[in-house]
Amino acid sequence: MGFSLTSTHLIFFITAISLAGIVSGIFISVTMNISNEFSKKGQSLADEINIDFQIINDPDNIPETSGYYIFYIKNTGENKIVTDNETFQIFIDGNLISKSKYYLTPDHIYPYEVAEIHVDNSTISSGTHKLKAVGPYGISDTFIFTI
Amino acid sequence: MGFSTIGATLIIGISIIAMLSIFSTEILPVVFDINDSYRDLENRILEKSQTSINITNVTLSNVGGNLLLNVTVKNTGSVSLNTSDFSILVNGTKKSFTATKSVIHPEKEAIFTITVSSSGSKRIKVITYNGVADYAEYGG
Repeated sequence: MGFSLTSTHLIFFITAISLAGIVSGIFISVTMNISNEFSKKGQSLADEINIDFQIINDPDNIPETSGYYIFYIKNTGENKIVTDNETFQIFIDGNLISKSKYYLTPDHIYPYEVAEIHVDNSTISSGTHKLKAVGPYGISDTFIFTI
Repeated sequence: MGFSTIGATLIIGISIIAMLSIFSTEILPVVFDINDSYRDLENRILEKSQTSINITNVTLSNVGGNLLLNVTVKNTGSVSLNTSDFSILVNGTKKSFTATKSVIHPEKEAIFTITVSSSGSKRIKVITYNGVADYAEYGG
């Protein structure tokens, strides 16, 4: 009877400790997952807030060189912007321009620096058009110009 | 039963402390980063609303065979402007320039000098660091 009582207590003890350990493990694991996701999302939000750019062309004088119209984008935010045709999508009058029809130079700009978007002149006819440049995190600027 | 309760409470207590520690080390810095970013955004919007420039004069001179376009820009806003952060377009093309001052304080002027290849009419756009701009035309 005495041995039986001790065994029962021992089983209760082991069960309680095991359950507490499992619950603690789950809590810590869930907390770590939530923290990691929140951290990533938060950093992404902070980066998004810090990114801003503006198309600064003279709308009546779009320069053309070697078959490409040149549009200037100025980094007016706080962070470096990667400028290539993976991070930037170009729309002319609402139509997405194929990546093969434009390129950007240089490949990144720091705050207050200017990058050039070279758009194949076959994609833009004469007349008034609307260019929309969509950059990192979906930040965009729209510019109305006349060729 | 008493030991079981104490042991389980101790384990759960330690795990709660660990959770709080993870939360504070992972999440608080991000919250501070977001807060800083919003403060920067607020400052950018405020500075943009307080930035204004006016091109007050444009002249073309020939110095030693070089055609120099001199563009006088007045800071009509209430924010000091670094001239190195300006961009200047002449007939739509971005040009490099020199400036007589590194900073234009409110109500002060600086002269920007740009080398051009020909005389004739010029359309000039001067853009500040935050995208505020002014236009001028030179008749040639």
